[in-house]
Amino acid sequence: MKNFIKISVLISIFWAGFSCNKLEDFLDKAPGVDVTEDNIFTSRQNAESYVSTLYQYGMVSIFPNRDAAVISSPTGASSSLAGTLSGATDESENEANFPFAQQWNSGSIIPGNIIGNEDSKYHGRWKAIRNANILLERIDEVPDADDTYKTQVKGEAQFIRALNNFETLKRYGGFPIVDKRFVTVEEAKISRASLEECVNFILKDCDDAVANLPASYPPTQRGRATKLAALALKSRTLLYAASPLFNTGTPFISMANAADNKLICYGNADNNRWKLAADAAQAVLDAAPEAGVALIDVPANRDPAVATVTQGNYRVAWERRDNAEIIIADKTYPSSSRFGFPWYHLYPVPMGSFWVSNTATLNFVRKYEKKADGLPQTWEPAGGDDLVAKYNELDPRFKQTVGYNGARFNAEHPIIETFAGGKHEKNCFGGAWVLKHIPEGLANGGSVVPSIALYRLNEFYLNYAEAINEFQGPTPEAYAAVNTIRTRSGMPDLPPGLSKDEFRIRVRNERDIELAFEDHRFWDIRRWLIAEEEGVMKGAIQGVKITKLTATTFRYVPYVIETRSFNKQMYLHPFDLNEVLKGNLVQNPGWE
Amino acid sequence: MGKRNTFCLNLLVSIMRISLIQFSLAVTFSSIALAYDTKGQDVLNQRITLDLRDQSVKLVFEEIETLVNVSFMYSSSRIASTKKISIVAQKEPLGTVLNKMLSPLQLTYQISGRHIVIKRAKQPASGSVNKDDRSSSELELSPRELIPENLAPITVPVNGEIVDDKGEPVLGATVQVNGTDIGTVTDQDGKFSLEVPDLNVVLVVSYIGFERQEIALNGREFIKMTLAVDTKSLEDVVIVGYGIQKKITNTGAQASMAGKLLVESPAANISNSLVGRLPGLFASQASGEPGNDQSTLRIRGVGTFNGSQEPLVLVDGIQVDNYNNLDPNEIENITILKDASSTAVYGIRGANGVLLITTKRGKVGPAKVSYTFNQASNTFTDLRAQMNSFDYANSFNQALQNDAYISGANYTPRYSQTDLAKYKSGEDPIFFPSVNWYDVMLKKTSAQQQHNLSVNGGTDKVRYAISTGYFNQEGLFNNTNLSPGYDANIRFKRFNFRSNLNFNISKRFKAALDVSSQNEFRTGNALNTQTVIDNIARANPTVSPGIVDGKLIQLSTAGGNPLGSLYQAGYQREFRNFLNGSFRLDYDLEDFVKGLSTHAIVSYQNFNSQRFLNSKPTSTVINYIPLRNTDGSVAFLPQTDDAAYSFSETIGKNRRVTAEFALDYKRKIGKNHNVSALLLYNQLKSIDPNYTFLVPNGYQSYVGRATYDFQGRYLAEINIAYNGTENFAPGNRFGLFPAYSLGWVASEESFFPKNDFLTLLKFRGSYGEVGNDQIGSGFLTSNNRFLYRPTAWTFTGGSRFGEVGSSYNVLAGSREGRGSNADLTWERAVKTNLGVEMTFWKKNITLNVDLFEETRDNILANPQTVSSIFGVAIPPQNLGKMQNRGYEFDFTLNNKIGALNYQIKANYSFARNEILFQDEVNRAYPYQFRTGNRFGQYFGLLSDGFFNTWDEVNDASRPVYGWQNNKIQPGDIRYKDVNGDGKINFDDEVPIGFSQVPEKTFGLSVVLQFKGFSASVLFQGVDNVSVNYTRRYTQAFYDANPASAVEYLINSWTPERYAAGLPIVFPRFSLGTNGGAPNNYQSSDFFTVDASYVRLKNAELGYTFSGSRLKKVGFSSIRVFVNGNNLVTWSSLFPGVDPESPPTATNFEPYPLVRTINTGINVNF
Repeated sequence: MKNFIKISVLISIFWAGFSCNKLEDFLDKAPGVDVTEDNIFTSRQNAESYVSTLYQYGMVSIFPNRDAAVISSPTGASSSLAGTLSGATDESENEANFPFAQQWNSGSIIPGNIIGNEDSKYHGRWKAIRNANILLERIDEVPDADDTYKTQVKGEAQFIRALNNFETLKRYGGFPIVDKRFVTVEEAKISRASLEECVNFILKDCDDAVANLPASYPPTQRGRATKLAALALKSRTLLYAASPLFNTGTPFISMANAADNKLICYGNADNNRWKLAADAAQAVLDAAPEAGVALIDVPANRDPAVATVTQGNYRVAWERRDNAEIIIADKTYPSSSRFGFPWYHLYPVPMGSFWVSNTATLNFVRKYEKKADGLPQTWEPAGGDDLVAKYNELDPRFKQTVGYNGARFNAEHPIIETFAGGKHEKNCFGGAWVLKHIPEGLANGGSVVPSIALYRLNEFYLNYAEAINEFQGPTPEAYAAVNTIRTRSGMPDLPPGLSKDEFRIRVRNERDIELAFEDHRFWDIRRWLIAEEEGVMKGAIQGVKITKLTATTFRYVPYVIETRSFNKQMYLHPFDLNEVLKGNLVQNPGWE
Repeated sequence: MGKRNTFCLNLLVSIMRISLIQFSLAVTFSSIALAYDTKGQDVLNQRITLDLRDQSVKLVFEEIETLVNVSFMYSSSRIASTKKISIVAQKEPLGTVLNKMLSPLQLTYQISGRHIVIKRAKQPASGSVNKDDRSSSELELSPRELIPENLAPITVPVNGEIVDDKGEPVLGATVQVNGTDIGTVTDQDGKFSLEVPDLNVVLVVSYIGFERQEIALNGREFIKMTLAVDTKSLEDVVIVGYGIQKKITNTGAQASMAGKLLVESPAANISNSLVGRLPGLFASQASGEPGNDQSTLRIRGVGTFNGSQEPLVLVDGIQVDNYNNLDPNEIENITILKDASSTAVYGIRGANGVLLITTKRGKVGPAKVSYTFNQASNTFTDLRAQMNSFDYANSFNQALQNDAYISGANYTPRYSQTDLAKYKSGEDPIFFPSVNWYDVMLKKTSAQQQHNLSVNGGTDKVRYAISTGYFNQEGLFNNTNLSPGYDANIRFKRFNFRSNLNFNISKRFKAALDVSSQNEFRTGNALNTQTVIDNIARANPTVSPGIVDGKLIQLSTAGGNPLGSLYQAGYQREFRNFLNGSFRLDYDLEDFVKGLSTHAIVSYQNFNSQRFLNSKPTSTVINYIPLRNTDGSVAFLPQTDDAAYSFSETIGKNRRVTAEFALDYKRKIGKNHNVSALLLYNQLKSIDPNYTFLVPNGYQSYVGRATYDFQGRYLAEINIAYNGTENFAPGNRFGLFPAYSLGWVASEESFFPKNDFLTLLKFRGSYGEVGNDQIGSGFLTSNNRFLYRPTAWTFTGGSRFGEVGSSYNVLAGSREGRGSNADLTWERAVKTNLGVEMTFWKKNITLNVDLFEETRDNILANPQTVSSIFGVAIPPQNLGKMQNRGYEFDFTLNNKIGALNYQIKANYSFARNEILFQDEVNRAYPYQFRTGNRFGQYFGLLSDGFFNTWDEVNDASRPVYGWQNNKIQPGDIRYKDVNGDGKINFDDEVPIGFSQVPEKTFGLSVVLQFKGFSASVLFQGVDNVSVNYTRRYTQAFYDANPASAVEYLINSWTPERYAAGLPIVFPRFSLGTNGGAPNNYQSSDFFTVDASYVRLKNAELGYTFSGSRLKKVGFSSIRVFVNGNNLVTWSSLFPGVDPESPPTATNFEPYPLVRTINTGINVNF
């Protein structure tokens, strides 16, 4: 007992020694949280920073890997995609086989690899939409912001939400409509809405954005969404919605459960949808002057002798930053050399880059009409010795788009050599490089800001012509729209008296030429349901092998670069396998 | 701990930091002086004061023992110790007192060290006993009142000498006539003399730390005997968390090994020497790079799928991060703690098991100096062979042809017939080379040296163990001196110092001061070795002629010569210093409460590192490109200019302070009850600039333990920890971790038949809860740390607005952070263990068997079923649940045949885990679920041979293949349509093989000793393990470059080989990462294969010289030995793959493991 008391005393001392102060005092504190969501909405300046991030997350560009480094997915995964979508169309062939486009060309796309092979922004889009929803929910709380600003931000959020939903729509059809910020995990268990509901949701956002957004901004704010940008998005949405892929009673392949077909098409064909599309395109053209947007068209520069920065309306329109034709551009990135994003996806390795670029196929070059008469060029299957002459006869836009043998690439490579044994021949499968998007400024190690247009005005002339022709045939307005585009690049008008079908072929060809390599073709061949046609995405893709005969004459021989595959289910993307397994998404047909 | 305490602690730490080294050096030298052996005469000169009246002789002896540190030895049957005497002394020398006391009793004494042996005097005591005068200890009959009358009157003197296995005299060994109480102890020369009844008796010699030995005199009057070190002596006690316990009454599951086994392996890293030695320990070595070749250790396999799987490691009770760089010579013992009972005291950090390292401490005795030198040679265990240029080019063309079928392109050979002919003839070694890059870039052998000098000894007051070590290892990179003043080879040097001092300040008060440091130097090229090895593996034989005229040649501006990678990143020198000091005070509170003691420890660890990088803008070596002159000669054009080096420095600084205070109670109550209790407070704070938010990491622990045993038969123990860390929200920080265990020593029961066969039978079981607060790999440095804070927004990023060239600027952005989890907590492991311990055949055989089960929940994991439409990262939750079960046994046999002593040890461990819950997405087929499988289970398709003919390919009934658009051709792998849906795709993936962590591991060691010879071998192996080959292991020309082709891939499917009936092991050739044949490189059982192996891990052969001739020249013993590591391997892996470091998803081309052949000498003074 004596010992017991002694031990008790000792133990008491023991505890007292270490417990006299608060138990946890020894352990350090985690740093506090300086910025919470509430702080963001306490000042206009902080709110503005969140709007800036809205653009960073929410703007889209023609580069599939854009923002892969900036926006990791909610699960932390990110991917880095090489090349552009162009290589997965008849426009071009990648100079190497590692870019993801080859997976499309060889038919190796599966639900398990879609994120890594095209849609690396799938997860990022939901992040952008959450950003937009939070802004819409709380922007009114900002004490030092006036109503004009609040209205504008709402419009911007609506535009970005619509833009991202449209990006999902064109890939997958109907999607889960997320119109609020999720708080609990349960709330996020929602299913795909029908295609029609999704289109309407996007249109509603566009209309709201048109109402809320200003016509233009001061130059320091250039790059923010305008009324015209929202109209442009609406036009493109309606054009896609009216196209055969969606505007039909029966989808290209039925869903496993036919009742789900409305997720991927309207469930009926309604020609009036083309009227809506035409009207929306017309609205863009009508609203352009107010926004200070107009076609680049200096008559003297319609057919430049040499394609340089200063000459050629067409080239100026794609090359010069912030030119008048741009409705809105992705301005997320800083200036970069050809070794940085995005130029290393575009600049050919033999020209001194290090990653991957595209070579123009013969399938694409064939689309160029002769500038003299507007008739197709003849390319002999057996080839010929008159390559230089053939090139010289083509549409002036050819020189401003394709880096062909003998052309000027830039100051560093004044003469392109793609003939056998030439300096730039290595991996030039098509026989010509793609020049479009590569600004002169990248020569000799220069740096250029990659603010590449999301919408340019030229598209809407063609949107209008296509839609109105589908609705009521080749009206004079349809002719006028296409000819406006042709004229500014030195091409003769379309011949009069074309039938609706003939006009369709011409306007589609015009679109291929005018909007080449700008992330249109991949989607156009899907919405038109022509991807499986021979020479589009199925069958032989040709290039030319060029032999130097004399200093000025070259022989061309067409050959098959690759035989491609297009499986019908590729008209729509498969949802990522892992997302489908989470249970709220019904997989698209053919991908189950 | 309060502010005052913290202040004291800080002060103490500051003092320690300033003067740790100076102080330790001073103490070291002074204690060496102190420790000079105390002469027996000094003992006798100590003055004592006594006043004992009418007490028994025995009690007087005991009283003197408490006054002077001596022990009396006498035979109570021959000396009437119960006789009452009276003695009074006032500050008289002990010698005088003894004479005064013993003379009347006709007794005398002999002193040896601190032992005083009482003997009967030959003649009536003269009062002048001289310890060196042996004749005076001759025995004569004594007065009747002291000696039983019936004792045999005649005895025979026997003399002898006892030495240890190194020839050193053994001081204080007990020599006893078997079956009697007649005995003595050896003197400081190891000599003894003894009166025995006759010359046919058997003498029993015993001493702590040595094996007990019996020797029959067989008529001899002089014997010399060598005592063998008792490797089992450590097993008599076991090291447990915060203490030691008697093995027999311990109820936890642990395993230990003696430090001297570490020295048998010429490996620099301790972890690499543990492989195969300890039941329950799984080790795998990922790399053989000097200084970076440590093994990953897993105790009882893997218990969590997301949290840290690393065991907690403590050296002498202090948590360390850097145990691998200890000098193996410093280590006394390594123990792993496995079950809840043994790890509960570590509470929140105990779930993954604990590794305890104990370093050597001084032993009483004269200074023993030991010097060891090792000289070793390293070679790679195995290297890959690559195709030569001709085979390469041929196969490449074949690949192009195969792929053309897929892409539909026209087949154009890359290598013309002319090229092929040139590769075959080797006529143009510059432009058509055929280089074996492994030969060019890797040496055959590299050197390794190790020195260790240690001094061990002490007196009653001070004991010391001081060790200094040096280790030097060269890497195996070749051609590393192409750039002047720059040695690209990896070199690793390490200097170790340790001084462990023990002070007996008074009988009750003890102190220990341990100071150690490790200094490491690494030099060499700055690119990580994995990348260099990958570049070697990638380089094809045609890419460059290598080095010509001392110049590094590239055939194209794109490079390709892998030698360039040794120079591209520059040259680095890295210095790392670890300085550890630990001060411990022990005070015996026996006077206050019997059985109570207390101790306090303060420890300070400091880590500094400095890395200097010298680099040049491009490469530090000039590249040349060859150009063919018109006359056919070759000129080399430099591609780069030489440039000046730039310099940069990276500095690292970490420190950690540990403080501990404990009350320890141990008592035998009555005859039958043994109780012990421990109450301990421990705190630890680590400061590391890499910790998230720069917040130090702290732990606070209150630990309690109570043990009870009844007659050593029924055992019970409770361990409890209450500890906390700042990693969780205030209020959630502290957790209670209790564990309970019971034991029953059945062989102690009276009903247990006494027999020689089964001499010990013990059952034990434990159940308890432990935790793991490192919930995620790299938890302290990850953004998972402080996950409980509310969602933080950050101002970062943003888009750009404005017009290019005038107003284009970033508008600063802000982002919503990941959601928070306020309820965050530690992983909780509930562990059960059942064990049986048996010894057979007079302790010659021991067998221990343990069964265990662990269920871990609260594993931090990301919910996997939340759709990404949520739009922001969901915070990880404590949602996972996992189970780990298994068993292990170890077996030891010690025996001898004549003079041949042998020992066989075997251990076997099995651990299988299963993920019980992880919020997995809903798979289409039940067999696809990862949940319910082991952690890291491989999944893949089931292969079914090859398509060999077009008929097979074109068979309409074959399934549709999901890759390369169903374009199958002969030479492609055929897969099984598991779900029978007519399609081969990911849905057909099933669990294949195991995981990369083995489920079974075993070790078998055999030790032989014959006179001076000793030999040992260690075999080690694993099973239930798989490797997933990818990249270049499976595919020639993997990479767009195109890259190399492994030689064994020549056995790929080609029409010619198929037609000729040659063996075909691999699918058809193809090119590229994705392009050519995705079908063949899907995850499948074709390339996910058995990675089990058995290897002769270690072997040693040695001879010890000892004896008087050596002694005359000043040595007590010399041992020479040869040993080796990773000597022979049996496995079914691809050639060039070491089964211990197969490719993994994160390290696909590891720096290969090395085989070390070592010769060494150990000299003892």
